[in-house]
Amino acid sequence: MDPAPPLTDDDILPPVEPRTVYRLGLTGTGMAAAACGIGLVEAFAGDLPWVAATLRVALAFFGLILAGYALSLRAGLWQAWAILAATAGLGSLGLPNTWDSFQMFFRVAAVVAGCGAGLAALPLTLRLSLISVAVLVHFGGILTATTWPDPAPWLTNQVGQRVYMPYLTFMYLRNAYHFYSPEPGPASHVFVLVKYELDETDPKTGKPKLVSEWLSMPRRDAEQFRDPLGLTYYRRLSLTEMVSQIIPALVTNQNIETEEVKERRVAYSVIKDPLMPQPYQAAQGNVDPINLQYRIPQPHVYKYLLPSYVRHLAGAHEAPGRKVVSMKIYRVEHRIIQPQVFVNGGSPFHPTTYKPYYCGEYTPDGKLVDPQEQMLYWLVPILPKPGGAAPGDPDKIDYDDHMSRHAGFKFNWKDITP
Amino acid sequence: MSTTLPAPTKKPLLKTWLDFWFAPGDPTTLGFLRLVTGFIVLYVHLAYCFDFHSFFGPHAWWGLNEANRERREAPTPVPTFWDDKFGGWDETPKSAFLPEYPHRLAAFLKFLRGLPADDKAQFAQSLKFLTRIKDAVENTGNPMYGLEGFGYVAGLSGDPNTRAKELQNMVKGDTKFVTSTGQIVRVPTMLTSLPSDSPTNPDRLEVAAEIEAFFRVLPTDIDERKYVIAHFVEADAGRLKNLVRFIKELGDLSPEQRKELLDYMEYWNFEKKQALRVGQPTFSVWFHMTDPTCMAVTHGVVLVVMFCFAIGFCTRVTSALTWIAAVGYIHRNQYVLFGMDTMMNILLIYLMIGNSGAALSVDRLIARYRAGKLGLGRSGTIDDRTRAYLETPPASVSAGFALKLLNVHFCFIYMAAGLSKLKGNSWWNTTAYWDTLVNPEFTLIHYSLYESFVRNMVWNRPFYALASAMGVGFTFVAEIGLPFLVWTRLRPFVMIMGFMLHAGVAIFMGLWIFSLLMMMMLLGYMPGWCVRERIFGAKPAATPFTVTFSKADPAQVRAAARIAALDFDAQATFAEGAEYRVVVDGKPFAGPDAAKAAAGRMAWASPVRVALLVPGLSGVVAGLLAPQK
Repeated sequence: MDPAPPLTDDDILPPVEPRTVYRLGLTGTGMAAAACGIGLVEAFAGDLPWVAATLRVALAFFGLILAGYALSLRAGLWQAWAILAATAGLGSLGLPNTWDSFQMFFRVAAVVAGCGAGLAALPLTLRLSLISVAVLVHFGGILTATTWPDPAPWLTNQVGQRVYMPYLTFMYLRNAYHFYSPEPGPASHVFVLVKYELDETDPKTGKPKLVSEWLSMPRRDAEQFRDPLGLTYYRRLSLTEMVSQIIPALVTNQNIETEEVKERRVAYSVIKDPLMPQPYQAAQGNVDPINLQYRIPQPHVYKYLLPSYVRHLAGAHEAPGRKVVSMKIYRVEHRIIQPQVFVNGGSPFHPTTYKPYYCGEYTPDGKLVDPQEQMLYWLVPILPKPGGAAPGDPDKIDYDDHMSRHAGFKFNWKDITP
Repeated sequence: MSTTLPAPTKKPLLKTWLDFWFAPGDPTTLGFLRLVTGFIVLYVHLAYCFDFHSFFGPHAWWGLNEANRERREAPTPVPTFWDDKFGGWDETPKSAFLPEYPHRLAAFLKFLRGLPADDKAQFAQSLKFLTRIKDAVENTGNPMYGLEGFGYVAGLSGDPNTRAKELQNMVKGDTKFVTSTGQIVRVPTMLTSLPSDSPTNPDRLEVAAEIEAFFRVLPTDIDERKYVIAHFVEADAGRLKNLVRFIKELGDLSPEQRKELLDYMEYWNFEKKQALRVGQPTFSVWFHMTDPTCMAVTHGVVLVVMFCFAIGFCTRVTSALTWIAAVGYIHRNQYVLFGMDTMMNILLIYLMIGNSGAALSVDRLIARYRAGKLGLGRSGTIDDRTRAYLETPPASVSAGFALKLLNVHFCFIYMAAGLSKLKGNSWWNTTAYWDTLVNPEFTLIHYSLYESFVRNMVWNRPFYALASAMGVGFTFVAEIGLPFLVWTRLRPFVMIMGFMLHAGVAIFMGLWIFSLLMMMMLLGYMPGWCVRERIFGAKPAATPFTVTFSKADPAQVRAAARIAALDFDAQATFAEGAEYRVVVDGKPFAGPDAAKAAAGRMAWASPVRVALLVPGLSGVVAGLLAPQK
């Protein structure tokens, strides 16, 4: 008797029957087609109840998942890829227009699945060749991303913007991996002075009572450091870092606006806070060069980001009987203490290590109250008090807090000092 | 005996390439990466629960309106690739630009919106002087023409009668005039060169009419007029040309088109038609879902999917769904992201590409069960091929390919991180080390013990200088050296350096999750057998047991197959018998006792054996490992 033939891989674990794969996949395609059908009905019959849109979304998504699951059972079958491509294509048509981002995603999935079908149908050699080309293209994109930060080569700009940007953005692969470079740099905080109008009347003025409150971010307290690994804290740190993107050295440009900016700054010091040094003066050796004192944020920060932050905070801090009236925002760089100061007993959390830049007063709907406010985008310094703390001062305040003076409300530095 | 070394074999480049990328790889490493990364990803998304609506709701830090507007409208500018005149060296952006300062932008937009674009003749006349200045600047390359021309307009009086006199004097040939505030305003050179020998001077009359028409469309408010003119003055030749072109094109549009164009310009300060593309290819359910209940349910479903991915259930599907979900969170709010999200995404992409569920997963457990069931049903025992399958997950091309992609990508990351630091003075003079020790927002400096430690360390400057130089040097060697050395026999050492680097980042910078993810990527260089040895250790050959079962009874076959699936240390021997028995140390057990005996014997289960005391759990185990009647 002949010996039994040796077991093959398929004997150990038989692959799923192609028929099962097709049946599952085509069920998914049917679901996506049903989503399309509802869409067609809506196109002809007019708006349907919200349930119809929800059903379209559910059918498209579950159809795609089912077709994807079918593919996962036998990824070597080009037909399974083709079914997935068809499902994705139909799904993109079946989704309501309000789900435009996923219409785009489904189209991309259809193209990718279509390419997969082509690859699966090709002979092995050709398949590996095309995959090799894809690998080269992919890492070409990664290389482009790593060379993109300024000053980027002309070639990177051209190839990146024209070719790779959609792919890298879609896949979230645009990072350049320039961690802590070229310089580590100080972190940024955001201090916000929120002014509220209460429902009660101030007896002195006869008008609604106004109260103010400082908010600051990030903080290592229970409110902002909520998970064991500090992710909630670092997310807030990212929010504040995003606001710190500035256009450098603008104040040294010679144009009408920058001349007016300097004049307004000088006028503020003369009239409203004579104790604050002029931009060109040194005070206790703790004032930056003038080009570092004026830091206008990048346009997307002051046009979109700060107003969005304001709207969020206004919504988050309104309460019954309390209406947000305005917010003053300060972007605060927390400079890293120098070793020689640290060795001599200096604290990394002393208020003079914080450098607030005034970013404007906003209404609750995110509108900048005065784009020509005198201290807008200027450093509002916290400087060492000449002669140190006053004798007999129980709090031993050895600094001049011009930020609180500018804001009109005292900031309690102990809230952010450990 | 030969004393010469054999000549090194030289592989063809193509074979080298194919062997590098497409050689079958052990999926155990990938499975381990999936397991740890999956739970990290789950943690990251669980942490979102604290700030869910603050980050992803309609009124989040980055509002939904802003996010939607950005992904639908954001222009992609692109520098010139080629032009006939300069061969691609003209870097003037093609788009017109408006002032960035809000008050100047408001003034300029008011000017643009106030132009008489519906009256073609008036519109053309009002722009003639502007075009004249633009042409003079462009033709001569001398910006003074712009300064003079616009300066002259700025100096004209706002009172129509006074202005008419000033213009009339210009026609007559005056080269300057004095304003009411005593400022001297000179007539521009391009006008003084026009003939002035006749009282009417037709050319000068024409220009005067152009100037008057231009002045009339400027804002009446002095400051607003100043801002509009300043923007023209501050534009160089190229920008002025684009600005004038843009303004002229407004006359070709319908009022609706003009409104749309100017609204777009107001928001983006970029001409839509000059953008290479408009919008961004980002996707997220949070762009489309705002109802809090729906959001909560969807987030819950996402967490379940991520858990399934972490444990390796339906991994091919859950890996794709996890990546889609994770990127959806990322795309919705890019302002809360940092390096951790980048690394998480990279890992998820490659775990999705490779069959990361082929090892250390529920899928693998199910596959082991199915293979065991088939083998036991076929031969009444575990044959050699099935034993080999159960022992080690089969090598697969997709696992090898995904790991290589990860390995190469990691090299890019380290190389970019290391080389970019060379641009920084603080890295060259080693002060960067200090920044990473005492940055108050990142480090442990808010703990008094750590603060004392650092203070003592830095007090001794020579010691501190040596430590910081070593720290910086170590960073450079690790980051720049790894992409080269990791492909040599020094791989274990550079991996250890990498682990040390990221352990330092975790401890001193508080970036635990980022560091864990980087360590996961480093583990991608570890061979599968090494991972298996570390997890499963040496085989406990001294504690075997036997399972007898009847091949004719499907329930017994299934129960035996479950034992085979769970027998990770290959302790069980299977044999055909009349009844289902588990024989341990010569003693046969039947029914639920058989299940407990098998569970009690399995070496991997010894740390969790105490769980059998939990009411109900032992019944579950009995139900799994013994046939049910």
